[in-house]
Amino acid sequence: MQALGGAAPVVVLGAGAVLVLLVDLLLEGRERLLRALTLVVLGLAAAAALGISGAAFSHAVVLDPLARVAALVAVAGAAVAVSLPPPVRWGGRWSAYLALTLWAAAGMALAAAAQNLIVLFLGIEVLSLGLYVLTAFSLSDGRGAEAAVKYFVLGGLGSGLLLMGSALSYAGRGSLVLASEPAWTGLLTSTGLALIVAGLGFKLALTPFQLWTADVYEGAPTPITAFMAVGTKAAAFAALARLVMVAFPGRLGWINLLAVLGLISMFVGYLLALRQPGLKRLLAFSGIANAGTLVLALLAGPWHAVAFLYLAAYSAASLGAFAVVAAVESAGGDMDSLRGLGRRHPWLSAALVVSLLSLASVPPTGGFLAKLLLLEGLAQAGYPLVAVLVIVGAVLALYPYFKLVVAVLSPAPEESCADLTQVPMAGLGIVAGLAVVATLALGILPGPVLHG
Amino acid sequence: MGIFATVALAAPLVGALLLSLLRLPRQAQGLTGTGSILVAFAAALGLALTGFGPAPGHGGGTDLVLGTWAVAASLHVPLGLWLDGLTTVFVLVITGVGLLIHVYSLAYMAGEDRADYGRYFAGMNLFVGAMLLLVLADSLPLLAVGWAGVGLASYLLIGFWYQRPAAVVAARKAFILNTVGDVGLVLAIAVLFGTTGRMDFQHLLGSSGRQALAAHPGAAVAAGLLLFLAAAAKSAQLPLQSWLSDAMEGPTPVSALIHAATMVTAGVYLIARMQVVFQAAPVAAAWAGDLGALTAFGAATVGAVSYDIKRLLAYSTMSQIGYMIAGVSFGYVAAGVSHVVTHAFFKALLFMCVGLVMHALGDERDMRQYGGLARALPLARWGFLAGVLALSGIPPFAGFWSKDAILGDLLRGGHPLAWVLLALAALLTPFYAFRAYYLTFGGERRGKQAVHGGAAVSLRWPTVVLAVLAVVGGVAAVALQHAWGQGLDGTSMVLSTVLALVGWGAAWGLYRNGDAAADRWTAGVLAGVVRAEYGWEGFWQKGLVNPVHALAAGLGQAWEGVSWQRAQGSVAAVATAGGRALGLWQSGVVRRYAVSMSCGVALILIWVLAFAH
Repeated sequence: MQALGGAAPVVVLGAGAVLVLLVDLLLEGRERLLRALTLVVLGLAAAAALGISGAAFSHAVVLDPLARVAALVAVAGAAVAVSLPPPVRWGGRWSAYLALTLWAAAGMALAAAAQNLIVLFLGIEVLSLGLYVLTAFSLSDGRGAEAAVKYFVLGGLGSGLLLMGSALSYAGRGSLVLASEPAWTGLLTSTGLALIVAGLGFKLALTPFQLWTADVYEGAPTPITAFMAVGTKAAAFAALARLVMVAFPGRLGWINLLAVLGLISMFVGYLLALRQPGLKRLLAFSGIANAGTLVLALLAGPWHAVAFLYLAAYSAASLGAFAVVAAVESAGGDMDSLRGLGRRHPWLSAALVVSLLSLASVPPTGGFLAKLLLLEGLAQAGYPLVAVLVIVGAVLALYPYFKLVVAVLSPAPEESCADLTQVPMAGLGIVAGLAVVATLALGILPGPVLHG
Repeated sequence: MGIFATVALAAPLVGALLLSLLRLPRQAQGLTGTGSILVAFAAALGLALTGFGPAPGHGGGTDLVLGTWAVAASLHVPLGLWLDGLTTVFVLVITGVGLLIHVYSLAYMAGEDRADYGRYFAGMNLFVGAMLLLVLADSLPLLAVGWAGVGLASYLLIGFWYQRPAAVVAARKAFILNTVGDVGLVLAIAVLFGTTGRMDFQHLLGSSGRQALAAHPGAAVAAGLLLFLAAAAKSAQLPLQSWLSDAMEGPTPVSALIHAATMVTAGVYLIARMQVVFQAAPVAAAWAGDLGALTAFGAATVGAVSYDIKRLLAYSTMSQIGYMIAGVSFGYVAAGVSHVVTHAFFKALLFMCVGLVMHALGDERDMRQYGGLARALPLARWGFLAGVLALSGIPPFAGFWSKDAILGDLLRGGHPLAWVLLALAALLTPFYAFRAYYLTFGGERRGKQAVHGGAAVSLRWPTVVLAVLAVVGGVAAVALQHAWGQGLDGTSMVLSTVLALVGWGAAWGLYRNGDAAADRWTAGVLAGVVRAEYGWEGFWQKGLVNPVHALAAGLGQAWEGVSWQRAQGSVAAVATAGGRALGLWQSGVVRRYAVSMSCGVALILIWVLAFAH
């Protein structure tokens, strides 16, 4: 793997997908074997992301700390998508599901490590195409198909923006490389840059490009929603951060644009979450708000540590929450089924509560520490007003999350509470357990993430 | 030695985790709860044998770094264990006496049902584990974690019988007063961090911390007073002492643990550990030491008129801890800490004997209902006598050697106020101790309850072990003092002996027949005032609680006046309305989404062309 250099995780994931398809051709219908194989591939990819650094493909792909964190988040998301129980109405072939998941993860890793705009576009497209199909994977479920069409049409628009922006900036700069030289100035380049930011903003679900999020998250199978919520965000964030690093320094107008986009996303996300629209929509809105907050981390003084911790904490908490949502869903339940869940399934409920507390930035979770460091960074970098607004947003966020916590912990009207005894717990329990451990570890011992 | 320290710390915490998470059968609960402390004690012995560690106070010690807890800008908090002689002594006492108390609990708590039995041992293990974390921590933040853990565990165990209102109130009171101390600790950490820039012992206790504190005497005094506030809460010293006597609502072995092995000695440890601060701030040291001595005297007077035997022991603890606080505050660490050791022996013993008496008498705690128990409960009687002799400071029993060392040091060091108070307390101590002994075991039975003699094995042998330690434990105290460079002082020893014998003589003269009639004087008005802790509670109630209530009520009405509630309601309404309006945007129609996105792109382009071009 060493020979592949920085492209190793991408290659492992892509080749693993092919392997999964081949194995399914040879040994038909061995679902467990295929799942195990996929997890092994993901493990290898994680090892590659951790153990290897450096460039590949004549510096078109570089595995640096930013790419590493994003790739690890993508791999974790994919592992969750593979491990969670599928929703009730399930059609289609396992091998296709697993291979598409791996390919999407490969696209995420590629986009996060891309050093020029073409590779970035390639990565974004690979991840998007995989996710379009996966969104529609429950064939019998009309909502999934509808969501996939919406996602595809709007995603096409987003990709178009990205491509158009790349072309314009190439026309202006004469280069596709994501580097500070040649400079990102001039009318053509600036227009292109704006379109690229919009395209990446679509993938990150920043306002005003967030509209698809709730519908797609709700329609997609929950394991895929979880994958999408963390993996796509991590990849798009890495790409955006790279762009900001090379194109924005010293340009106040651009930096302010970033602040405005981040703040608006945060407030829109939390305000939408206030309406308690259903579990998956709630998590979608939470994702919008967190993407906005994550973008604000780019303003903070030394932003690497803050952004990594925030991304890791958000991912762990989201995956933990989605794991429980997947369980409740596969038992055919919704918001009301959470009422009194704590009495019936104390362990799963504990996982959900810890995850929600982290999303609500309550100590001792990773979400708290990440937000604290973010505020400190914003204050140090000279954005006290932004810091104050982030605090206001955090206050807004308490309500939707705590309402869920209260529901989970309340004594139940027995019949409405979800009964998860029929749900296969093995993968689910491991996912939820690991997510909780990660959430608490990030809050108490953040050292490894903070230092790359 | 690192591995021993780590195991000693981990074992009780793992035990607490297992006991609270798993539904074990009763025997496994007892085994886990006691076994974890046994492992910890074995590890503590290993620690002591492989390297006892240097005497405290000279900045020497091994920092066993396990990792880094937090780094942010100039803030560096290590995660590790600090090993020196002071730590080793405390670890030995906590695990050793803790083990005996756990064994004793096996039979003492046998009446509880399975769930409560497990909850009890989980709390006890957590208590020991938190206390070990407190004394093993290599930085102030980590120490504060253990500090808070001790407070939590004490809350859980004092309120163990949560169906009893008195127990709940007592637990709450202990927790609140301890929180006052926690605030003191956190503020002290902040002051020390501001002054020295570090929070780890390696630097704080070394020459760099010493120099920084010497350069900022004001900060040193503030830190010292705040540290004393923290110590006063945990160690039940004036002005935060009043929770300890109420804490008797917990099961008796819990009291033994609080008084002997964990909790109240935490304050002594804190002051002994932070000598560097008190050396730089003689004013703070004087306040701490004199208040400790005043507590020692005051609590002894209250103990002399108590009827409730557990409360009497609680006042006795306050009083004895006062000795230790006075000792370590004035810099006599060897004397103060050796008193921690001997006190752990005899106070745990006294509680175990009282537990035996209460078990035999259906949980009766009023000494006026006791009397004539010597024959029915021989083990409790001889054990209690050994404990009383040790407590009174009669040579050659354990307490004498350490108490006398404190008195001698204060006399030589020129701290007249503290010495006079402690000498008076030394006079009172044998009086109240033997008063309790004679009223309980001497004379004739006064109460009506039947006496159930005969105690289980696991109640017996811890009592016996501690009784032996109360008799001969002075060796440990003298050895420790010798190791830390302190000799014996003949003059002071004679003086202490005389004081103790006079106090004993007074009790003998009044109570030797075990006659309740001799105790009539305690019914007087003055004695009543003393028994009510000199109206201390009323003072807080009138001086602090009532004014705060009045202020809160007044502010509340003022708030209502500006119809704050309506304002709150309108904030919520605005937020909800905002959410609803945005919800309309999420129409679900793709065409509108695409239009929105396009408008967004247009807005960004306008922005870029206007501001960022």
